[in-house]
Amino acid sequence: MDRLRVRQSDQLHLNTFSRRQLLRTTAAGFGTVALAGLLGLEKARAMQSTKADLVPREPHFPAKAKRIIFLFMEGAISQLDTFEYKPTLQEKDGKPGPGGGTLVGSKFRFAQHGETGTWVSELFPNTAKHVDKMCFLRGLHTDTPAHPQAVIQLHTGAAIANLTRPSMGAWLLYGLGSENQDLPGYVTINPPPNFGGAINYGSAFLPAQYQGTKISDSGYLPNIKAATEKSLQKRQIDLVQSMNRELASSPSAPEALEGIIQSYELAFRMQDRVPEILDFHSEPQSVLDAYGIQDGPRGSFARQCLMARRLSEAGVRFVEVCQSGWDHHNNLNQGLIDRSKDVDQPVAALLTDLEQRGLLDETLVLFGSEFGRLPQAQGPDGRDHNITGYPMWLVGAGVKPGFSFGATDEVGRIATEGRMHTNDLHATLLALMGLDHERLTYNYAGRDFRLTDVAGVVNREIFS
Amino acid sequence: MIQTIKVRRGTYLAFATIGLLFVHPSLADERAKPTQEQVDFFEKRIRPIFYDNCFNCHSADNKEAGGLRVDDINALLKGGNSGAAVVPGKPNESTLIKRIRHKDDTKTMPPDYRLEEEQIRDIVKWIEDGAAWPELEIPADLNQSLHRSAISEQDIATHWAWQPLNVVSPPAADLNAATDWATNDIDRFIESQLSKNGLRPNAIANKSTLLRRITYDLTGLPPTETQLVDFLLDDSPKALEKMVDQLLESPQFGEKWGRHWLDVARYGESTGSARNLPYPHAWRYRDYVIDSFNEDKPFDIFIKEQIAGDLLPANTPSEKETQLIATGFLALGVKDVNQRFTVRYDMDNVDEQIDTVTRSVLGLTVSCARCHDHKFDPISTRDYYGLAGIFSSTELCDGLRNQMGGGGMAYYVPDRIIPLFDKQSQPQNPDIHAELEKREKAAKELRQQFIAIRDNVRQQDRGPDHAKKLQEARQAMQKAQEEVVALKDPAKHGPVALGVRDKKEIGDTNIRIRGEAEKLGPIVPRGFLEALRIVPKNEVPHDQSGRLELAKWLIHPQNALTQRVIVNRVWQHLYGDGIVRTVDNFGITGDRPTHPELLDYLAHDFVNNGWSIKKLIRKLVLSKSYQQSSDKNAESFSKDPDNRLYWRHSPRRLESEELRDTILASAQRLRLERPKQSASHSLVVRELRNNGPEAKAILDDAAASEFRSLYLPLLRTLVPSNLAPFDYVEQGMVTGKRDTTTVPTQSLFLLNAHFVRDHSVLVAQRLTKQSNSTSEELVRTAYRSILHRSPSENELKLATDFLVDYRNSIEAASQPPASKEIATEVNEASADATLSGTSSNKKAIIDNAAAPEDSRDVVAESVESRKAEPRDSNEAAVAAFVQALYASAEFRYVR
Repeated sequence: MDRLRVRQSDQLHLNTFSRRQLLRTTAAGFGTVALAGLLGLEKARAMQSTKADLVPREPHFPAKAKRIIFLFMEGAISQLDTFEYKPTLQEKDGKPGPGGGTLVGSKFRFAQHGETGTWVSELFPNTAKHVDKMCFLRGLHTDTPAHPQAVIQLHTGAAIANLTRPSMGAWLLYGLGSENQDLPGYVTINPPPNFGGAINYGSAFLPAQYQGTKISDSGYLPNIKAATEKSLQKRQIDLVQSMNRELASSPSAPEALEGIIQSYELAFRMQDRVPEILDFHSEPQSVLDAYGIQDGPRGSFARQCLMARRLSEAGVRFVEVCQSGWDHHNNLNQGLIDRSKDVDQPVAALLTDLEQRGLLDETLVLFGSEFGRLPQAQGPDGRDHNITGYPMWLVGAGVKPGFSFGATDEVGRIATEGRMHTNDLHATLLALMGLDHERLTYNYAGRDFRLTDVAGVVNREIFS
Repeated sequence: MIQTIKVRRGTYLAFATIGLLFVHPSLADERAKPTQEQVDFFEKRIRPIFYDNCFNCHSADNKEAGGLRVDDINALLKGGNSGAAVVPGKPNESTLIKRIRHKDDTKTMPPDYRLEEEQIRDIVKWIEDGAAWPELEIPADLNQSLHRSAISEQDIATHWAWQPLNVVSPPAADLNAATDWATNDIDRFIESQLSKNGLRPNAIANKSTLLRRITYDLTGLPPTETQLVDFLLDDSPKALEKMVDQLLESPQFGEKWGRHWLDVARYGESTGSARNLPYPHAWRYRDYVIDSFNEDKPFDIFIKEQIAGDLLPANTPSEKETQLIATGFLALGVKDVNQRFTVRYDMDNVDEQIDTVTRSVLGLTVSCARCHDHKFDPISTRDYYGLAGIFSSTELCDGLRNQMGGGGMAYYVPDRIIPLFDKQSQPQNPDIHAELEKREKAAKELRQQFIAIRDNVRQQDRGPDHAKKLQEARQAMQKAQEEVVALKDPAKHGPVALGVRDKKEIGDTNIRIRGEAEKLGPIVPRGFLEALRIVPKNEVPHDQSGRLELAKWLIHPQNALTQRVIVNRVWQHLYGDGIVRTVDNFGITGDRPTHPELLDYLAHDFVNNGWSIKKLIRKLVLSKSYQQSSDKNAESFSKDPDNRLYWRHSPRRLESEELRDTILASAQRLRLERPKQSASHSLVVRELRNNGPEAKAILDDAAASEFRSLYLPLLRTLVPSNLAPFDYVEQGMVTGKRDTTTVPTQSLFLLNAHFVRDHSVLVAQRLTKQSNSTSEELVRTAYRSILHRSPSENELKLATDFLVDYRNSIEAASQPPASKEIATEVNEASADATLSGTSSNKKAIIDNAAAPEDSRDVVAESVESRKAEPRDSNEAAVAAFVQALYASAEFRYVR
């Protein structure tokens, strides 16, 4: 309640949302109906404060995408060995390159794919089949050539340590609410345990309900499993709710009481709903095989991708999955082969799966890293970090298929055309989701904060 | 227009040349302004050489190899690890020239080829000619006060917060009001506003409600059975006063109110941020804060010690020790040790300190003036860098340094911690140097072995056990490194603290253009905030950082802001909201006080009472305003729904610590004594990964601990699982007021968490042990020990019916409940893993979760063993009832 009082932007959201709508989305349980008659205006307000924060809200302008799945390649995948084809780099192999050091060409064969003839290396044979759907951003750049800061900046918009900012998913949830009240609105699977850890899916100074819910790559989520048999637990919750209703009739009932009553209904449903979503039993064998679902770390990314599809399909606003191990300062070639093997098939399967289910019309998939790698060699078999020019790609809702925006120089070191900073990427993603990055603000410590800080330009050229 | 490639931090390409100010970027202001000819030569002949040949290893866009950057003249002048790279006018003394001439075979630059002769000649010529560098170009609309203060006189003159305290006397008894309601001056202020708005105060809350309120508010704990009985039976008019005094004198008072300050001091036991490194000695500061509140240390001295304890005189060694520990306030912030550029690391830490000090003590967001003058408040960039000079003359003794990459203990600097013992008196090992040399040599060899294995790229040489070998080599290397560090580490020889001390080099610092650490503007003298010109200031001595003068300025009797801010914080913790609701922001964008006279009256009174927090609290809780019931009456509510005029007591949600402590206390498991340290004290100072064994040990310790919650290990990003659900404080920032959200994860925690269930069972076992008691008595006892009141008839019936019903349901089921539960609960991680099982792939997935080293997170999820299981259906039913009480909305509110 306190939070809401001071936040005008939120009040605006609330005003666009009728009480009837509110009740409709939450009426399934036992608390609301019983209490509806008792509710005065003040209680309706209390309800909004605790509940309405997560109900769907109108975007600033019509959204092109409803949901995002972010496939995060933590550690900085070598773009020059995968999606960024530079014949000049091959020619100049062994020669000094810009900025110092010796250029080294890719050891992997590139070929053209699809009707667009987009070049992709042999490391991604399955994903390459989807190039005609892809929209490449080839002129990205960021501020800090170190993973910890760059990972945090990619997720929160800023790399300055002393003020932790809310994560991108938290901003989306704050701006748009959640489509599904039985599930968390923002899920991150297998996030990095370092490089800021929870900062990357935290809500910082936004209220806590906007933070991401962390799920492990085997679907573990604390406290989601009902502690007792469901019928027993139902009895127990009934008792809790009777006590809460008793309290509701007291003149000193706290404002958040209705919200608490709702939260038990929601929790009770989540205990079924979350495991159901994360349970692959209902998937046909052909789908499991397509993703390459298997045990152990090698199957981690496949499991994450399938969980991501299921969560996204159920209405989770923002799902992030993570594959680490791309930081190839050494062991570049074998390392790339190993990592790509884990990633290529599930990524391709995810894109196929989303397409077949018609979900690509509403879902935007983003693939990429915190930065790229240099065309120069580092040591006998490695590449160092490069923040001055690297690509990411998007597939799905709102973006031009088979499109490429921006470019780096002839050896792939620095972005020369269509340059997009991380802030620009964020501004663009928010715009695709129907949010104006300059209007999505939150007042903290006397200042209005944004995901894009004081920068960010929306790149409309990639919009479909 | 110059074509611009937007290079955010770099200096390579600049902005348009119109509308710019120019500032020479060099360290030494005396460097001559370069001629156009010199600049042209640099831009055409020199910069391209650096850009093409050096930037990948020596620039802001990449790294600072060898500690050197070549994209910044100051970095070249200062040089890297081998000394000044460029000595203007003296190419032969410039390390840069030595390197590029390839004179020394071991250190040649660029490493794998030689620059062309002509390029080398140009660089020599450039240095001979003074190493000219173009001036920094500053957009005219930068809004940075570089040479003069540009703050608004009007803002200073009109904004309430920076005016002196008003001398106010309490309003005379209001003739219209309820005559003799007021008992003290606070009440008179409150009553006067209420009556002006046609409102009447609520009646006093009933005694059991009041007791629960004061025990939670003063100690963070529920009333004990004894307190409940004593208080309810004491009919004397002094009953409340006696209880309040008893609570103020209990050690739990300092724990509760110390924790409030720890929120404001953004206390944490690790750096958080990009790489999480532990602060193993942070707990001493935690204990210092608790002790200070228990001693009722005058708040002005409390502030002075935390900012300048090292510079204060002390009468005894133990007083000195206390003062040194107090400076931990400045040392325990969030830090980004992986910042590769030292100048940025330093300025970020300075900023963190400025932000913490100004927001916690003054309620001002001075950090906003880092890059430009404050947009709302009359705080200029000059003010900011005046303060920055104080902190940049201060050495952080947090045991850390910044470094790019670096495993093991690379970030640890044993010299940068504060020994609390006399190093001279320690027996010296005469062979220490020989020993050190030996160990260092061994460590170096192991490092080389590790690199050899790591960089062995030929697949056929690697063999199947390559990963294992690499891991073993890494561990051996790290162990050797730890042994080297241990020899130098004062923490191995006696008690140590983290804090600050003055640097050897003291001085004013430069304004940084647009806040960018490398872009030096004019130097500004160290000083304080102009907006608070009501406060007399002391000159900053040339040979000290100026922290002592800063501290004295903050606590000066005429610094009304410091007084208002702390009084308002105390008020908020007792009344639910501050008189100024934005407790951390008293600036122009902050809230206005609802009762400005009362605030000034309290501030004045506070100082007159020797800055005593206890006296202030005592006065506040003994007022009738505080003791009002929290009942809503429709009339008052319609006039003032937010209770801004205090016509009732606002209910407050328990903080996560209070919730956990109460559950432990109700099960008679809460240990009230203070643990010796924190579980984090034994951590080695190296990166903590959230899925590593150290993190697991820390989280497991927190899960198993029965100490009060503020003594749990509080490493940033590793919030104990039993504190996380109820809006635990964000440890990265000054937090004067915590969130109180309502989310389903809280319900899931109360329904399913081991912690909650275990203690429900423990309570149930105690209740059922009193075997002769009827279930009605049992319910009454449970209500009294958990909700601190008796149940109503209706509640009694609900509960007893539930017990019968629940018991019958269990007995109706064929299996005994306890054994069934145990079977599914042995390993929560593996049980939960079945969530994602599939017919053909199911076994595989379970195996995966059962071998948690495969996964990133399962290791860190605390897989606790259960403390208690219900032994029969009756215990199970009682436990379910007890848990329902914990889960009730009433339990989590103080009314």
